[in-house]
Amino acid sequence: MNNHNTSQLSNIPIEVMCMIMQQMEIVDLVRIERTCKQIQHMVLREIQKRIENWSQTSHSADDQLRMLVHLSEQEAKPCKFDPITRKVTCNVPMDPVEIRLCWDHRRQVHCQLLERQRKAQNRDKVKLINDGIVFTLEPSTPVGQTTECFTKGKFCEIDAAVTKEQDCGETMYALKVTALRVPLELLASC
Amino acid sequence: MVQLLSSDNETFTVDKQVAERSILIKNMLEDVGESDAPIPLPNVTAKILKKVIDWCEHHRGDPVSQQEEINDRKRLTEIDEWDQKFMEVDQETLFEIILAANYLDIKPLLDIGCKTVANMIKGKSPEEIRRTFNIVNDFTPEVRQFGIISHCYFLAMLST
Repeated sequence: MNNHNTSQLSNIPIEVMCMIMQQMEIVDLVRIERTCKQIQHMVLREIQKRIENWSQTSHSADDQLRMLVHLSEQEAKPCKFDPITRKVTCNVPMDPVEIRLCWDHRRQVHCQLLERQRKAQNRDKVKLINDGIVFTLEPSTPVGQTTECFTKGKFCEIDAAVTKEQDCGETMYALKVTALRVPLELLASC
Repeated sequence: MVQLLSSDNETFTVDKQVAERSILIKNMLEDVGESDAPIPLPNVTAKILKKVIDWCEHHRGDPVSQQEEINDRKRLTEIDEWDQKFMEVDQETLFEIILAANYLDIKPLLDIGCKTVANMIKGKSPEEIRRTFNIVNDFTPEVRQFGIISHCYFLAMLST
Protein backbone atom coordinates (compact mmCIF):
# COMPACT_ATOMS: atom_id res chain seq x y z
CA MET A 1 0.00 0.00 0.00
CA ASN A 2 1.27 3.44 -0.90
CA ASN A 3 1.60 5.46 2.29
CA HIS A 4 2.48 8.72 0.58
CA ASN A 5 -0.28 11.22 1.03
CA THR A 6 -1.22 12.84 -2.28
CA SER A 7 -4.24 14.54 -0.76
CA GLN A 8 -4.42 18.23 -1.52
CA LEU A 9 -5.89 18.85 1.91
CA SER A 10 -2.91 17.39 3.76
CA ASN A 11 -0.44 19.19 1.52
CA ILE A 12 -1.75 22.74 1.61
CA PRO A 13 0.36 25.42 3.33
CA ILE A 14 0.03 25.54 7.09
CA GLU A 15 -1.35 29.11 7.07
CA VAL A 16 -4.21 28.05 4.77
CA MET A 17 -4.90 24.94 6.84
CA CYS A 18 -5.06 27.19 9.91
CA MET A 19 -7.71 29.33 8.21
CA ILE A 20 -9.76 26.22 7.35
CA MET A 21 -9.46 24.98 10.93
CA GLN A 22 -10.66 28.33 12.27
CA GLN A 23 -13.91 27.77 10.38
CA MET A 24 -14.43 24.36 11.97
CA GLU A 25 -16.13 23.36 15.17
CA ILE A 26 -14.07 21.45 17.72
CA VAL A 27 -16.12 18.28 17.07
CA ASP A 28 -14.95 18.29 13.45
CA LEU A 29 -11.38 19.12 14.46
CA VAL A 30 -11.32 16.04 16.69
CA ARG A 31 -12.57 13.91 13.81
CA ILE A 32 -10.16 15.23 11.19
CA GLU A 33 -7.32 14.85 13.68
CA ARG A 34 -7.55 11.08 13.23
CA THR A 35 -7.23 11.05 9.44
CA CYS A 36 -3.44 11.10 8.98
CA LYS A 37 -0.24 12.11 10.79
CA GLN A 38 0.38 15.30 8.85
CA ILE A 39 -3.11 16.66 9.49
CA GLN A 40 -2.94 15.47 13.09
CA HIS A 41 0.23 17.48 13.62
CA MET A 42 -1.48 20.65 12.38
CA VAL A 43 -4.84 20.06 14.06
CA LEU A 44 -3.58 19.20 17.56
CA ARG A 45 -2.21 22.73 17.95
CA GLU A 46 -5.55 24.24 16.98
CA ILE A 47 -7.39 21.90 19.36
CA GLN A 48 -5.01 22.89 22.15
CA LYS A 49 -5.56 26.58 21.41
CA ARG A 50 -9.34 26.12 21.27
CA ILE A 51 -9.43 24.26 24.62
CA GLU A 52 -7.14 26.75 26.35
CA ASN A 53 -9.41 29.60 25.18
CA TRP A 54 -12.59 27.67 25.96
CA SER A 55 -13.77 30.02 28.71
CA GLN A 56 -13.32 33.08 26.47
CA THR A 57 -15.52 31.78 23.67
CA SER A 58 -19.24 31.15 23.67
CA HIS A 59 -20.45 27.57 23.43
CA SER A 60 -23.83 26.10 22.71
CA ALA A 61 -25.40 23.77 25.26
CA ASP A 62 -24.43 20.92 22.93
CA ASP A 63 -20.74 21.59 23.46
CA GLN A 64 -20.94 21.67 27.24
CA LEU A 65 -19.63 18.76 29.23
CA ARG A 66 -21.67 18.13 32.33
CA MET A 67 -21.35 15.64 35.10
CA LEU A 68 -23.30 14.34 38.03
CA VAL A 69 -21.48 14.33 41.34
CA HIS A 70 -23.67 12.47 43.82
CA LEU A 71 -26.78 13.56 41.85
CA SER A 72 -25.66 17.19 41.77
CA GLU A 73 -25.26 18.38 38.16
CA GLN A 74 -22.08 20.31 37.45
CA GLU A 75 -20.52 21.84 34.39
CA ALA A 76 -17.03 20.76 33.42
CA LYS A 77 -15.14 23.46 31.53
CA PRO A 78 -12.26 22.29 29.32
CA CYS A 79 -9.14 24.29 30.14
CA LYS A 80 -6.08 22.28 29.16
CA PHE A 81 -5.12 19.77 26.51
CA ASP A 82 -2.13 17.48 26.46
CA PRO A 83 -1.30 16.59 22.83
CA ILE A 84 0.82 13.61 23.94
CA THR A 85 -1.71 11.82 26.14
CA ARG A 86 -4.56 13.42 24.12
CA LYS A 87 -6.43 14.10 27.34
CA VAL A 88 -8.58 17.14 27.97
CA THR A 89 -8.49 18.55 31.50
CA CYS A 90 -11.66 20.30 32.65
CA ASN A 91 -12.23 22.55 35.63
CA VAL A 92 -15.33 21.74 37.62
CA PRO A 93 -16.34 24.94 39.39
CA MET A 94 -18.66 23.63 42.07
CA ASP A 95 -19.58 24.05 45.69
CA PRO A 96 -18.74 20.99 47.77
CA VAL A 97 -21.42 18.31 47.91
CA GLU A 98 -22.24 17.41 51.50
CA ILE A 99 -22.73 13.78 52.44
CA ARG A 100 -23.96 13.27 56.00
CA LEU A 101 -23.59 9.91 57.70
CA CYS A 102 -25.20 8.89 61.00
CA TRP A 103 -22.26 6.64 61.60
CA ASP A 104 -18.91 6.82 59.89
CA HIS A 105 -18.49 3.99 57.44
CA ARG A 106 -17.04 3.28 54.04
CA ARG A 107 -19.30 4.99 51.53
CA GLN A 108 -19.19 4.99 47.75
CA VAL A 109 -20.11 8.16 45.86
CA HIS A 110 -20.92 7.79 42.19
CA CYS A 111 -20.09 10.34 39.50
CA GLN A 112 -21.42 10.24 35.97
CA LEU A 113 -20.63 12.16 32.84
CA LEU A 114 -23.62 13.60 31.02
CA GLU A 115 -23.84 14.25 27.33
CA ARG A 116 -26.43 16.43 25.67
CA GLN A 117 -27.88 14.91 22.53
CA ARG A 118 -27.05 16.86 19.44
CA LYS A 119 -30.03 15.95 17.29
CA ALA A 120 -32.54 18.78 17.14
CA GLN A 121 -35.49 16.67 18.29
CA ASN A 122 -33.52 15.49 21.35
CA ARG A 123 -31.88 18.82 22.10
CA ASP A 124 -32.93 18.96 25.74
CA LYS A 125 -32.25 15.33 26.50
CA VAL A 126 -29.14 14.18 28.24
CA LYS A 127 -27.59 10.76 28.43
CA LEU A 128 -25.43 9.23 31.08
CA ILE A 129 -22.01 8.06 30.06
CA ASN A 130 -21.40 5.18 32.37
CA ASP A 131 -17.68 5.34 32.92
CA GLY A 132 -17.83 3.74 36.38
CA ILE A 133 -16.33 6.63 38.33
CA VAL A 134 -16.69 6.03 42.04
CA PHE A 135 -15.22 7.84 45.02
CA THR A 136 -14.85 5.86 48.19
CA LEU A 137 -15.12 7.87 51.39
CA GLU A 138 -12.92 6.14 53.92
CA PRO A 139 -13.51 6.31 57.69
CA SER A 140 -9.74 6.66 58.03
CA THR A 141 -9.91 10.15 56.44
CA PRO A 142 -8.52 12.61 59.03
CA VAL A 143 -11.12 14.90 60.62
CA GLY A 144 -10.85 18.63 59.96
CA GLN A 145 -8.49 18.31 57.05
CA THR A 146 -8.95 18.50 53.30
CA THR A 147 -7.59 15.46 51.55
CA GLU A 148 -6.80 15.41 47.85
CA CYS A 149 -7.99 12.27 46.14
CA PHE A 150 -8.04 10.78 42.69
CA THR A 151 -10.17 8.18 41.01
CA LYS A 152 -10.63 6.91 37.51
CA GLY A 153 -13.18 5.08 35.44
CA LYS A 154 -12.51 3.16 32.28
CA PHE A 155 -11.27 6.24 30.43
CA CYS A 156 -11.98 9.34 32.55
CA GLU A 157 -10.11 10.52 35.61
CA ILE A 158 -11.24 12.81 38.41
CA ASP A 159 -9.37 14.82 41.04
CA ALA A 160 -11.29 15.83 44.13
CA ALA A 161 -10.91 17.31 47.57
CA VAL A 162 -12.63 15.63 50.51
CA THR A 163 -13.10 17.33 53.87
CA LYS A 164 -14.38 15.37 56.83
CA GLU A 165 -16.06 16.93 59.86
CA GLN A 166 -17.61 15.26 62.87
CA ASP A 167 -20.21 16.81 65.15
CA CYS A 168 -22.30 15.12 67.87
CA GLY A 169 -21.65 11.70 66.43
CA GLU A 170 -22.67 12.71 62.89
CA THR A 171 -20.03 12.60 60.18
CA MET A 172 -20.11 15.02 57.30
CA TYR A 173 -18.01 14.63 54.18
CA ALA A 174 -17.71 17.58 51.79
CA LEU A 175 -16.74 16.35 48.33
CA LYS A 176 -15.58 18.79 45.71
CA VAL A 177 -14.50 17.58 42.28
CA THR A 178 -11.68 19.86 41.18
CA ALA A 179 -10.71 18.46 37.79
CA LEU A 180 -11.95 15.99 35.23
CA ARG A 181 -9.72 14.48 32.55
CA VAL A 182 -11.37 12.95 29.52
CA PRO A 183 -10.02 11.52 26.26
CA LEU A 184 -10.16 13.89 23.30
CA GLU A 185 -12.53 11.48 21.52
CA LEU A 186 -15.23 12.34 24.03
CA LEU A 187 -15.57 15.79 22.48
CA ALA A 188 -16.38 14.21 19.11
CA SER A 189 -18.51 11.30 20.19
CA CYS A 190 -21.79 13.17 20.46
CA MET B 1 -7.09 48.82 -17.41
CA VAL B 2 -4.48 46.39 -16.12
CA GLN B 3 -2.90 43.39 -17.82
CA LEU B 4 -2.28 40.22 -15.86
CA LEU B 5 0.01 37.46 -17.10
CA SER B 6 -0.71 33.91 -15.96
CA SER B 7 1.97 31.25 -15.33
CA ASP B 8 1.15 29.67 -18.71
CA ASN B 9 1.63 33.01 -20.50
CA GLU B 10 -1.98 33.98 -21.07
CA THR B 11 -2.74 37.68 -20.74
CA PHE B 12 -5.96 39.00 -19.18
CA THR B 13 -7.04 42.62 -19.39
CA VAL B 14 -9.14 43.72 -16.44
CA ASP B 15 -10.39 46.92 -14.79
CA LYS B 16 -7.95 48.36 -12.29
CA GLN B 17 -10.71 48.38 -9.65
CA VAL B 18 -11.28 44.65 -10.25
CA ALA B 19 -7.58 43.79 -10.21
CA GLU B 20 -7.12 45.72 -6.98
CA ARG B 21 -9.33 43.30 -5.10
CA SER B 22 -5.98 41.51 -4.88
CA ILE B 23 -3.79 43.22 -2.32
CA LEU B 24 -0.72 41.72 -4.02
CA ILE B 25 -1.65 43.32 -7.36
CA LYS B 26 -2.69 46.57 -5.67
CA ASN B 27 0.74 46.84 -4.01
CA MET B 28 2.52 45.93 -7.25
CA LEU B 29 0.60 48.64 -9.13
CA GLU B 30 1.52 51.16 -6.47
CA ASP B 31 5.16 50.10 -6.74
CA VAL B 32 5.47 50.25 -10.55
CA GLY B 33 3.25 53.32 -11.01
CA GLU B 34 1.81 54.02 -14.50
CA SER B 35 2.92 51.16 -16.76
CA ASP B 36 1.39 49.13 -19.58
CA ALA B 37 3.59 46.10 -18.86
CA PRO B 38 1.58 43.00 -17.84
CA ILE B 39 1.87 41.97 -14.21
CA PRO B 40 3.36 38.47 -14.03
CA LEU B 41 1.56 36.02 -11.74
CA PRO B 42 3.83 32.95 -11.88
CA ASN B 43 1.83 30.99 -9.30
CA VAL B 44 -1.54 31.15 -11.05
CA THR B 45 -2.56 29.31 -14.20
CA ALA B 46 -4.84 30.89 -16.81
CA LYS B 47 -7.71 28.57 -15.86
CA ILE B 48 -7.60 29.62 -12.20
CA LEU B 49 -6.82 33.27 -12.95
CA LYS B 50 -9.96 33.44 -15.09
CA LYS B 51 -12.02 32.05 -12.19
CA VAL B 52 -10.44 34.53 -9.77
CA ILE B 53 -11.11 37.44 -12.15
CA ASP B 54 -14.77 36.28 -12.47
CA TRP B 55 -15.05 36.38 -8.68
CA CYS B 56 -13.42 39.81 -8.44
CA GLU B 57 -15.72 41.15 -11.19
CA HIS B 58 -18.79 39.94 -9.28
CA HIS B 59 -17.55 41.39 -5.99
CA ARG B 60 -16.04 44.58 -7.40
CA GLY B 61 -18.42 46.82 -5.42
CA ASP B 62 -18.18 44.98 -2.10
CA PRO B 63 -17.14 47.18 0.83
CA VAL B 64 -13.65 46.49 2.11
CA SER B 65 -15.00 46.08 5.68
CA GLN B 66 -16.43 42.70 4.65
CA GLN B 67 -12.87 41.47 4.43
CA GLU B 68 -12.40 41.83 8.17
CA GLU B 69 -12.34 38.68 10.21
CA ILE B 70 -15.28 38.17 12.54
CA ASN B 71 -14.67 35.31 14.88
CA ASP B 72 -18.13 33.79 14.87
CA ARG B 73 -18.61 30.11 14.20
CA LYS B 74 -22.17 30.74 13.03
CA ARG B 75 -20.65 32.05 9.81
CA LEU B 76 -19.92 28.48 8.79
CA THR B 77 -22.89 28.00 6.53
CA GLU B 78 -23.17 31.65 5.60
CA ILE B 79 -21.81 31.53 2.09
CA ASP B 80 -23.54 33.76 -0.40
CA GLU B 81 -25.59 31.82 -2.98
CA TRP B 82 -23.51 33.13 -5.89
CA ASP B 83 -20.30 32.18 -4.07
CA GLN B 84 -21.67 28.72 -3.32
CA LYS B 85 -22.27 28.16 -7.03
CA PHE B 86 -18.87 29.65 -7.82
CA MET B 87 -17.25 27.09 -5.53
CA GLU B 88 -19.09 24.16 -7.10
CA VAL B 89 -15.96 22.93 -8.85
CA ASP B 90 -13.87 19.79 -8.68
CA GLN B 91 -11.62 19.46 -5.64
CA GLU B 92 -8.41 20.18 -7.54
CA THR B 93 -9.83 23.47 -8.84
CA LEU B 94 -11.17 24.36 -5.39
CA PHE B 95 -7.73 24.00 -3.80
CA GLU B 96 -6.07 25.87 -6.67
CA ILE B 97 -8.53 28.76 -6.14
CA ILE B 98 -7.71 28.74 -2.43
CA LEU B 99 -3.97 28.76 -3.11
CA ALA B 100 -4.38 31.52 -5.70
CA ALA B 101 -6.47 33.61 -3.28
CA ASN B 102 -3.76 33.12 -0.66
CA TYR B 103 -0.99 34.10 -3.10
CA LEU B 104 -2.91 37.07 -4.54
CA ASP B 105 -3.97 38.11 -1.03
CA ILE B 106 -7.72 38.21 -1.68
CA LYS B 107 -8.96 37.62 1.85
CA PRO B 108 -12.71 37.30 1.16
CA LEU B 109 -12.14 34.73 -1.60
CA LEU B 110 -9.73 32.80 0.61
CA ASP B 111 -12.33 32.93 3.38
CA ILE B 112 -15.05 31.49 1.13
CA GLY B 113 -12.70 28.75 -0.07
CA CYS B 114 -11.79 27.81 3.49
CA LYS B 115 -15.46 27.81 4.52
CA THR B 116 -16.28 25.55 1.58
CA VAL B 117 -13.62 23.04 2.66
CA ALA B 118 -14.76 23.29 6.31
CA ASN B 119 -18.32 22.57 5.22
CA MET B 120 -17.11 19.54 3.24
CA ILE B 121 -15.56 18.20 6.47
CA LYS B 122 -18.46 19.09 8.77
CA GLY B 123 -20.21 16.10 10.37
CA LYS B 124 -18.07 13.48 8.62
CA SER B 125 -16.30 10.61 10.36
CA PRO B 126 -12.50 10.31 9.96
CA GLU B 127 -12.99 7.58 7.34
CA GLU B 128 -15.48 9.68 5.38
CA ILE B 129 -13.05 12.63 5.47
CA ARG B 130 -10.27 10.35 4.17
CA ARG B 131 -12.49 9.18 1.32
CA THR B 132 -13.61 12.72 0.49
CA PHE B 133 -10.09 14.14 0.31
CA ASN B 134 -8.20 11.02 -0.76
CA ILE B 135 -6.15 10.95 2.45
CA VAL B 136 -4.03 7.88 3.16
CA ASN B 137 -4.33 6.59 6.72
CA ASP B 138 -0.65 6.46 7.78
CA PHE B 139 -1.15 5.72 11.47
CA THR B 140 0.47 2.56 12.80
CA PRO B 141 -1.94 -0.32 13.44
CA GLU B 142 -1.60 0.20 17.23
CA VAL B 143 -2.57 3.88 17.05
CA ARG B 144 -5.34 3.05 14.57
CA GLN B 145 -6.67 0.32 16.86
CA PHE B 146 -6.63 2.63 19.88
CA GLY B 147 -8.50 5.28 17.93
CA ILE B 148 -11.12 2.80 16.77
CA ILE B 149 -11.50 1.26 20.22
CA SER B 150 -11.84 4.59 22.04
CA HIS B 151 -14.23 5.94 19.40
CA CYS B 152 -16.36 2.78 19.52
CA TYR B 153 -16.25 2.85 23.29
CA PHE B 154 -17.81 6.29 23.48
CA LEU B 155 -20.30 5.52 20.75
CA ALA B 156 -21.29 2.41 22.70
CA MET B 157 -21.61 4.39 25.92
CA LEU B 158 -23.81 6.94 24.23
CA SER B 159 -26.06 4.34 22.70
CA THR B 160 -26.74 2.56 26.00
